[in-house]
Amino acid sequence: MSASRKGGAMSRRRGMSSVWRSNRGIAMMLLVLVLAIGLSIWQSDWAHRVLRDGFRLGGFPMIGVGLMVLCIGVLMFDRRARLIEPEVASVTLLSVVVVLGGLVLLLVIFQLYWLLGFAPSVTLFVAGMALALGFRPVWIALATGAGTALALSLIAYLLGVPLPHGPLLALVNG
Amino acid sequence: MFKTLKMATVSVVVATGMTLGGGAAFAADDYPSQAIQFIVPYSAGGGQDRWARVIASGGSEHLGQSINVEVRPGAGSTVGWAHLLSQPADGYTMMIGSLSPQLSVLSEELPVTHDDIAIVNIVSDFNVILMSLPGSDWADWDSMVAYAEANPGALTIGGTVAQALAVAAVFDQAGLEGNVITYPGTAAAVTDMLGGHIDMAVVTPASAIGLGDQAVSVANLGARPNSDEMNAQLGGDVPWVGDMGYDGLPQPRWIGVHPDTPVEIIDKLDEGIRAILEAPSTQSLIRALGEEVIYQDRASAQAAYDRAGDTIRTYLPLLQ
Amino acid sequence: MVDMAHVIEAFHLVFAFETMAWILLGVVVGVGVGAMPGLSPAPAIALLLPLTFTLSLPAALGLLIGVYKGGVYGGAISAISFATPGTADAATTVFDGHKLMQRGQGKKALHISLYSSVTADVTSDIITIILAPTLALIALSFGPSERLWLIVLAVTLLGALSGDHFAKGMLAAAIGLFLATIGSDPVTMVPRNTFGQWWLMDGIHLVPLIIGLFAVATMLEKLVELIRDRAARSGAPQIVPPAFGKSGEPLTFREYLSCWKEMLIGTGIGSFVGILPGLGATVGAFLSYGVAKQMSPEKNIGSGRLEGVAASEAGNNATCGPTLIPLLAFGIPGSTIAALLGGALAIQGVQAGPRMFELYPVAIYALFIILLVSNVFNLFIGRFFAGIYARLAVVPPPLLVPVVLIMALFGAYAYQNNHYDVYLVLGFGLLGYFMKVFNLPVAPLIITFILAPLAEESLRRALMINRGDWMAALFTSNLAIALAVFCVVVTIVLARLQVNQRVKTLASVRSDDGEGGERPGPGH
Repeated sequence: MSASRKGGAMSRRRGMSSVWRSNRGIAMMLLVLVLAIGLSIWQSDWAHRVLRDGFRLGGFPMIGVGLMVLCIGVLMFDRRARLIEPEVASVTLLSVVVVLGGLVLLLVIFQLYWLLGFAPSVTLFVAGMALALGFRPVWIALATGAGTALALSLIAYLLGVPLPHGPLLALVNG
Repeated sequence: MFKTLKMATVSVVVATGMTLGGGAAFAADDYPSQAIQFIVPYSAGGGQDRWARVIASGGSEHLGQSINVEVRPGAGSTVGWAHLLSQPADGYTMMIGSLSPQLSVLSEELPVTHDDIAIVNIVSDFNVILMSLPGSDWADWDSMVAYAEANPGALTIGGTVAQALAVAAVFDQAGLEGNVITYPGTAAAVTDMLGGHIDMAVVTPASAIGLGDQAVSVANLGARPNSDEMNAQLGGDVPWVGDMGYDGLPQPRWIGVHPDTPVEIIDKLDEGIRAILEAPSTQSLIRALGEEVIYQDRASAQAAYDRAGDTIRTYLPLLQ
Repeated sequence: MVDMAHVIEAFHLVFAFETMAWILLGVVVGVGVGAMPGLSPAPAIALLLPLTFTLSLPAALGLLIGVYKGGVYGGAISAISFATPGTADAATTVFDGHKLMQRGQGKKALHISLYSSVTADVTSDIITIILAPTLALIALSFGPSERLWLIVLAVTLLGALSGDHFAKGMLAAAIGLFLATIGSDPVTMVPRNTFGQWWLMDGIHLVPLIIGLFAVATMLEKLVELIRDRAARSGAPQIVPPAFGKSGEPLTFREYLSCWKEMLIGTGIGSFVGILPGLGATVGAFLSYGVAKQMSPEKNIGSGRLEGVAASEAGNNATCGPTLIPLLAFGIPGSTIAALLGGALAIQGVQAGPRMFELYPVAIYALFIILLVSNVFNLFIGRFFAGIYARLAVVPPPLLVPVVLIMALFGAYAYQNNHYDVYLVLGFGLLGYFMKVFNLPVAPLIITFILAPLAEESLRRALMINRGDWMAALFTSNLAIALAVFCVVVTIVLARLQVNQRVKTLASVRSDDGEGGERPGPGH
């Protein structure tokens, strides 16, 4: 990423919600999250169980939490605490929706394996997403989808990965 | 789903507690009429995986159906076990296991419990061997006992949890105090012993044979004496703790199915696996792997499984 | 000592058509499997093991070793082509390799990854063959205390990977450490930090972590870019022009030679790491990459340099041969792969171990020859695959993104046939995207994720062996003390280098423009 774009992105976003977009702001949000994790570990019974070598079961996880808190603390007060990373500055509602939506879509496709079968779900996903992203011609998108599904099915078959075939194949097999 | 619908038309044995709706019924008469899934709840390449693949290779010939190995490791082998329970109780899904899954389900609250399985049979039961470097002050049983009594807790003994459990059990019965150190794998424990970082290691017979004369076998901590062939490979008669009046810990490799599977089907499966095990080709493959077939039928296998569970409940707290 | 008759017999066995054909098949399968995220050589070898029951000994070894070597190299192909390491050990190859690809130098990157892999592999194989017994004895002197210091040393050397913002590098490392504590206590195997989720009992595995942090996160980033561009262009469908018409220039011999230092580092570190049980190719690659970066700050490794790819790939492939040393010297497999090869030998009636040289000389020479010969196959087949993959750069992003995403999803499931891994991959995809946006470097997270549990395990085991005495546990032997001193020295030297470097860059940036070095915060 070039320096000029960095500067541009920064100045454009400088006004709005800049506190939360700065390193310090994000560090504060992370701090809340990490402290919540730390608290939940501290309050659980297992964490205080003493093992036969004298260490507590929660000891090393708490070291991890402690180190995270320490680093977040440094992040909140070091020289670059007020800096807004250009990538953070460019985050919009759209990008959050796209990322979360993409993950949910993958989860749905994974569940679809058991409903439609592996190959149809994969074809649907690949072709559908390519087309939705503006890829043309349609037949190449469909062929890529089917090709990917076929290749992955073949690998799964060879490696003994149990994948659901779905109702279509069952119908074919009788 | 489709599979079960087809089956429902055939016979009368009703499996209770089924996850699938309706009274699906399974046929014992024409069992097995389709391929059998064989779950290995460990990573591919381990001892159980090799056993499973050897048994699977004899499926078509001796059981009349092919056996497909399905590796489903995770969560101390309970992911594979949970998968077994999610399948219909029709005998077409079985799982290979050992002390490790039993240890997992007995040490933690899990969706799977120790009783959630019907044992088909035991295909092998190896004796764990306690080993030391040759020439040490504890290189045979008597001097080891003398050393441990003179220096309580000084003797450091390494092994995996399942194998270390045998040390904990025998030492507890003998009134000895040892410093038992658990390792994620036998290889790591043996390396530390060879390097002199720990005093002794408790290993599987295959590892013991592989070590050759780099180490000496101090005792057999298993539940039965070694076969003559095994003793010959280990370079002499290895004293068995059973002869000294202690209960050794069995390390059974069992095969289990869904607990609701009809007994007739389990018996047929047991018979089929037995035929595979008795085949000369299987025997020679197993021997090549440094192991031996020690078969127990359904009834005695279930009892051995339950006994092993009791032993774990008694001694596992010593290792935690 | 060496009976030539046995060597000649071994040559005849290996250079038979049957053996050659199986090595070829093995390498093809290996490179293919390695290039698929989530699939790694170990499960593939486990799967092929029953097939070897009926093969002759050299054919069986050829097939399995071919898969292994091909697989360790294959990970680099997808790492370079679409920033998705096919295997965990190719993670560091992404850093420079993918940048080269984006610059249209994909072919060069793929070639250097192949040549450095093969160079380091051949060299380390020769080391294995000549020095196996000696090296094995060295490995034995590493007990829990020594291993602990070795890990501390590794972490020190890897400080260079923490990126330019130190606190962020450390935060990433702390996250890695925390993630690594999820699972079971390494000493008592009691579950801990599982958030009440029983399926986390075995902890998080490296494979879903890598697929999530690299493949899914990168593709999500591309997805956001694509959709943003489309929104800007008010959604008129358009054919995205290929980024570059050709797959780029091939590597020149001079460029290959210019990476000699990195290949040497990779070979040395990889060979050493390979001998020690439990570390493996991923640690080899990270260490080699980190050290190479430290040694030549002027090269700016990480910005898309051939040297970075060479260091990483030499580091992982150099572990291939030496990982067999404990198996050959003591009969103890130091890794899953070694255990599988030991199993394959056992089925052929050959007991791996110190007496193999006496009892089965032909088998061991055949093994050595196959170790070397399979590299040649790797070279040719790797070149063929590299040629195909280099063209992937011209695949338009709207087509590439869904394909790689679905491959990641498939790899996550195929890894252990386990639903939970898929959920983890998606979760780590989100974490990875956040880390990209917030500029948290991924490398420190992965390093501590791998090394912290080893350190904890070694420390606690050392303490148990020494009955809780910290002094005895930490400084149990001269080797441990020497390693500890070395750690201190390295830390001091590196800290000085770091400070000098920082002063230099600060000075140059300041004279360049006022904003870059210490940018003012948003105006308040």
